[in-house]
Amino acid sequence: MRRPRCCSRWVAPLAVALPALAFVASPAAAAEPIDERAARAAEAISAGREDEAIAILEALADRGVAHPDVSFDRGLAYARRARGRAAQPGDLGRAAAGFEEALRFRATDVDAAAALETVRGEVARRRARRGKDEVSVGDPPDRLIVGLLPEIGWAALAVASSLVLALGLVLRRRPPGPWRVAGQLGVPLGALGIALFTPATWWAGVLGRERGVGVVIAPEITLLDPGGARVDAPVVPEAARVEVGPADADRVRIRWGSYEGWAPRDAVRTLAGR
Amino acid sequence: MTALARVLGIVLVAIAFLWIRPARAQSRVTASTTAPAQAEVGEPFVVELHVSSDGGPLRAEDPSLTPPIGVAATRPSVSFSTDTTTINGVRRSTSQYRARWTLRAREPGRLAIEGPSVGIRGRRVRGNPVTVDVVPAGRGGRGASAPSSPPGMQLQFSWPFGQGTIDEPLDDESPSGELDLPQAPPGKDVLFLRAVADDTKAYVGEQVTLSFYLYLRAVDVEWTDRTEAPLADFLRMPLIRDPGMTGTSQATVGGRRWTVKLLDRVAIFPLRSGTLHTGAMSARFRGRRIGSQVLETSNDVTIEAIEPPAAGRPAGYVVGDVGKFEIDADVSPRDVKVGGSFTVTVHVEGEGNPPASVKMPKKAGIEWLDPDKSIEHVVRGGRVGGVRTLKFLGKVARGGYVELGDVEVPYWNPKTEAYEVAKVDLGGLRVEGDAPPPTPSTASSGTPANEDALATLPAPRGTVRKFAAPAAPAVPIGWLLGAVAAPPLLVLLVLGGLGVARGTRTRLDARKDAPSTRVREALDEARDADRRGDAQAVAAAIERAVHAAIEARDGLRSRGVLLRDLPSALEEHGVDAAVARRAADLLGDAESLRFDPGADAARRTELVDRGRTVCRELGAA
Repeated sequence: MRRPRCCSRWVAPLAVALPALAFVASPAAAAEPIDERAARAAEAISAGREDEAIAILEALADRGVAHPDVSFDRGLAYARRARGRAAQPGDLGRAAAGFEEALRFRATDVDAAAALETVRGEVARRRARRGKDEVSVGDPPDRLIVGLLPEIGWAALAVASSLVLALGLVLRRRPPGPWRVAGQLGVPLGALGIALFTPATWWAGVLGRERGVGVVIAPEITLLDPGGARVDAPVVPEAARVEVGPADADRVRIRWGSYEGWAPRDAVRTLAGR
Repeated sequence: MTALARVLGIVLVAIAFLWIRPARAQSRVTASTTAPAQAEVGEPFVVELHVSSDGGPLRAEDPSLTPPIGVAATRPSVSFSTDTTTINGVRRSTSQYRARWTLRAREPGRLAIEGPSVGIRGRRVRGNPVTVDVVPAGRGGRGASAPSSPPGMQLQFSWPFGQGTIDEPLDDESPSGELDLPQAPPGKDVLFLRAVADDTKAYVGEQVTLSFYLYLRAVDVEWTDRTEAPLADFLRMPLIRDPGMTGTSQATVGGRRWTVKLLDRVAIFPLRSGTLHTGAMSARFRGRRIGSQVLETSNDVTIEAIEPPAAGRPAGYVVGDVGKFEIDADVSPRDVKVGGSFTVTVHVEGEGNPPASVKMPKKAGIEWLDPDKSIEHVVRGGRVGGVRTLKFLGKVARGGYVELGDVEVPYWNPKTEAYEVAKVDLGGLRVEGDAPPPTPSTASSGTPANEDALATLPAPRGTVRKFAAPAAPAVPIGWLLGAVAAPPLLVLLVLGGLGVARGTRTRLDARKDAPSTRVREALDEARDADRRGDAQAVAAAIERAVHAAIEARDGLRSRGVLLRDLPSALEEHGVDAAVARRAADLLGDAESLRFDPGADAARRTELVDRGRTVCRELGAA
């Protein structure tokens, strides 16, 4: 006997979602080691049960598990789902977020870098198929520069500049000769280094502590000003990496290249890790 | 002057060309509906929608007619054609589209038929509404009248193909007894209609030529109205320019000579497999011996349509692609940038109805958009052929040299009874720009990237490898500022301290040599000497004290001044005369004391006191 169509539509998703939710919410899940849950998620991905894998991996993320392999598998689960019939809007963006997060934890992860490139290429291809132009926008210039070194690196350079300045102050009092010349050079160089590296250290700290990095997980984002009007900027495509700033109840301020504006909070996934 | 006139002429021609071009781009689409004014109950009649456009090929689809209640309508039979002419280098195309519905009314009355419509370029084009009076059967209705001909006039179909697209006039002579019949249809001894197909078996998509003949015997008739055969399962194309206007020939029917007139000839292409019926053509005639509005109906021709064999069918073959075709293509430009586009114009030409679509080769980084299509039909030797032009726009997503590959059109050749493939190599495309890095899977295997790039993603990891989160200690800004400021400040502090110390010492050294210091020291020595009872030392010390006091006041070095001249010298330097006198007296007394070793203590003390007083009066003590 055939089931009514209205019921059969929901049976399959519920059959996957309910056990996954029950597992995620159960005390046993909390007690299960991370590696066993990750293995279970990988098995689900390989078996084509992406929804189950996503439920497990998102639960790990919610519990604060920060691990590049977990993030990688999460990105993979979303990417696989984006290929199939169960694809949901934003899956490619969530896949990119997973791979991007894996790279933040382990910058040398070449597989994650390649997968991230593949996902962004797929987003561009699908947008091109819909006749939408692809706008290539990199990180904001200040983040690009400050991101060259960690905060502690900039701090070390600032302190080294200070020592150069101090040594120059000493040496410039020497009698005429090579040491005095070195001192005369060291003073302006040290002062310049302090003037550059100290603000860089401060800004690196601000970006690291107060500004996060996120990935767009909506098909696209239109940037708005505080009043809700559209700002003069192209739409931000899915899977684009943005800088995440302050947020209110339902909006978040983001920077995308030199563009800045407000966007729906649930359209951006903030990445873990610094 | 001649050169100037030539230049002006060129400019005028250019202006005229630019002015004309936009006008050519405008396409005008007109639609009209035709139907007989009258029809009998149960008698089929045709409603025809006729759409013409002078702006290139018509891409009409989804013809629709809503019949009135109580009226049955067949599926529409459609035909289209393109007439292209070139005059003085200017190419003009006129396309025509016809959709015909055969209707049959069950009850008498006046039918108001809403204008049929068809979708063209995304919008519905609708013909005018028509009205048909349905009269009871046998009341001399004018049903089945030709759609486009007013009652009483001979039907004149316009030839939809361009001049020159037909290379030979149709022969109206009877070809070697083909039109002969053993006997006339029952009850038809004066005239009848006959439909003849050149073949009753055909492949789906293969041309069958269907001719309609009027057989006459010893009568002179006039053709008034007609209803074309429905041909619901066929694509139809007219083959003669003026239906009904051809000459006559002779045929033998039942041993008697009949006059045969070719009324119409169409090329039909089966759209599906199976036993297909063309339906009957009907027409009305009038003549002196037969009366008026005599309805004649042709026979229904049955065509057995089959699909080409499945065995050996090449990939990509579309049922209906039957004939003999050749293909060529043009790619422009061949140098593009990443993100740019290029055009591929594909021409499929040959005998038969050219395939409506071709599959472009799938290449990584190349995306094909839906093509613009156009077709030009030609008729040669009674066979329909044509050129299908498809313009594809390709968008490029990655850089490097791309081999576009082959475009293949598989088709069934009914003459050779075999599948054949028309193929053209598109050549290469140079794409300027950086190619994206290969994914690990493609890099390792060396195979080109799949169209489904996500399929190349690696397998899940599952195992959680050992991982230590990179330490990213925060740097408190206070600590940073302190660490940055400390070294130079410390150096400055040390250097400053050293400078202060050096300055102090210098000042101390200067103060040591100062006259006032010497005054104080000399007075102290005098006091000490007085305590010791050394009169000579007291005298010497008082002398030094007074001279130092004078020097400290005015810079006057009084040791070189004679004692008697000293008061006046001091007065010249502004010293009070009494003070000057007392200073000179003191110096004189001190000199006396130096040579009086026995001087008592009171004298020594009095000298010391006077010396202190004088020095104070001189402003140095």
